[in-house]
Amino acid sequence: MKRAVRIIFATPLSVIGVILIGLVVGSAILADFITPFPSHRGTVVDFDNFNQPPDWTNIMGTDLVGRDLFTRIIYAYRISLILGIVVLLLAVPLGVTVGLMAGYLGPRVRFVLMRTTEVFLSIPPLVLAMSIMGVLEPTLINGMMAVTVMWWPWYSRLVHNLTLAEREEGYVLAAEVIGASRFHIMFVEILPNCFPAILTKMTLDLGFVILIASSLSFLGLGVQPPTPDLGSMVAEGARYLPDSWWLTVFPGLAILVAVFGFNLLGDAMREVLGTHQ
Amino acid sequence: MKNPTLEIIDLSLSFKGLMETTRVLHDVSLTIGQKEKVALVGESGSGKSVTARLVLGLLQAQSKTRVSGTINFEGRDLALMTARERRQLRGSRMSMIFQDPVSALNPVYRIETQFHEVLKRNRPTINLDDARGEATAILGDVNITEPERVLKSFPFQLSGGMNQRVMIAMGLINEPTLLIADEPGTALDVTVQDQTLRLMHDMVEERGTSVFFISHNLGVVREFSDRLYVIYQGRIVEEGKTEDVFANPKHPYTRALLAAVPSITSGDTISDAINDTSAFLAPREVHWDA
Repeated sequence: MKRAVRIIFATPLSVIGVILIGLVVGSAILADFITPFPSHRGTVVDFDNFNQPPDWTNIMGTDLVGRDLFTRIIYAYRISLILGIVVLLLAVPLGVTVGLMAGYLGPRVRFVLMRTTEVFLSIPPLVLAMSIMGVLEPTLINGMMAVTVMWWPWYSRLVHNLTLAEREEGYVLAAEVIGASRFHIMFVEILPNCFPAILTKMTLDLGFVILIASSLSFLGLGVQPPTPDLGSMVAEGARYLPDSWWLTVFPGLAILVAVFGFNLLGDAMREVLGTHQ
Repeated sequence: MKNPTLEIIDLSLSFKGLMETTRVLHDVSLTIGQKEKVALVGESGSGKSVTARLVLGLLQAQSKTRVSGTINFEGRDLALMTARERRQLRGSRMSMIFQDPVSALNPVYRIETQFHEVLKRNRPTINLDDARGEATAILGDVNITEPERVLKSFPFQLSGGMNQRVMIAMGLINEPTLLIADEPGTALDVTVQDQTLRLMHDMVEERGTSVFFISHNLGVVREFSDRLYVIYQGRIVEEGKTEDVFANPKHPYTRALLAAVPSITSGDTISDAINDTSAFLAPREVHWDA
């Protein structure tokens, strides 16, 4: 742990990453206490103050129905983070299991599982998610499902490659020799040795999941109003550029901060866990 | 021989390639009696390790192999056992020690957890405390002075020699009747290797374990084994008591193998031998980037 802290603070970029993510996650958790107008995350209409540029009350301006943009951005972070975490919690176990089985259970299993994975990987992720969302109703749950479907194959490929390397290690043979079951070897012997790489990828991915989810809602296929979402906020404001610039610039910057922060944090993780690929 | 521990009869193995089939073992037969230490000696690629893997039943996972012949372990034909029975056999009645002790231990678990895992093969209900107790006892037997500290360590915190002793302890903790040692300690430096081999020798003597010792190192084999088989290109070319084979090798390949062992007895004095060696070790121009 001490070593981890030392490595992180040795590189200024990692420090920035930690600070950015600390701010994003902290503000999302404490949204109810730090935002000036918590009620503005829902359906509130205040036509006296609509479309106001930033001032001291509304530091990021107000939107087209007079809601405080800063408040809505913080609540949007909360939705994005929940979405990202849920997606990874679903996609990672699925992808990891498929990857372990493909890497360990022999050529036939590998053929079936990895070819399936490759089919998913060959479809551009946004196109896949868009077609799923086109068929399903655009809700938060369906959005998570769509992103999950496109996300697990990356993990199965990663873990498959790691498993191929790990299975040649002596301890796997040793476990086979003492008569351990295949389940035991996959999940108890091999999997823990893949954790550093999986964790690093998860950190990096949290940023990308937020980006993809924002892209979906930018296209109107994700989270629906009045729930605040960075993507749909950018889409809404885009029609009023360049005059009402704050409607687009601040949500856009918010996306940038989250994605950039998670990338820096991912790099820091890579340093700490020693998983250079 | 009466009731041998391991009996291999006419074992043949071939790997099917795309165009042709490569025969790796040709009618290999060997016997290991109770409490006997038998070595299988040969150069790389002669089929030593593959024989060990067949005995352990670890080769079936790969397709495209064709096996014929019989392997009897304590009088039972391994081919007739179910996969489950064979799994049960491994780790309890049969066990194995590897070339590289460091990689044979999983880096993410403490030594005590790994001992616990091994003991669970035999007694599924054993708890960690009991496992720790037994591990402490056997680590004492392999001359580890601070067993408690070693048990709490991860494999990468221990030296190669320590890891090797831990491996020996783990290989013997379930009191197997057959220990397969596949070039044990080749990855270690020579003095450590020698120490651990002596230790292993004493341990199996004490426990009456039969050993199937696989090696290319004749010096080690001479010290360690009662009998030996020489394997060359997948065929057993010579067998016999270790001292007889060393004194009077019959097959030309065995003679060539023995001639390849560096010896200091050929010279008249030790200083002669050193002179020979120093000529050999004389500084030469070395191209590092070659």
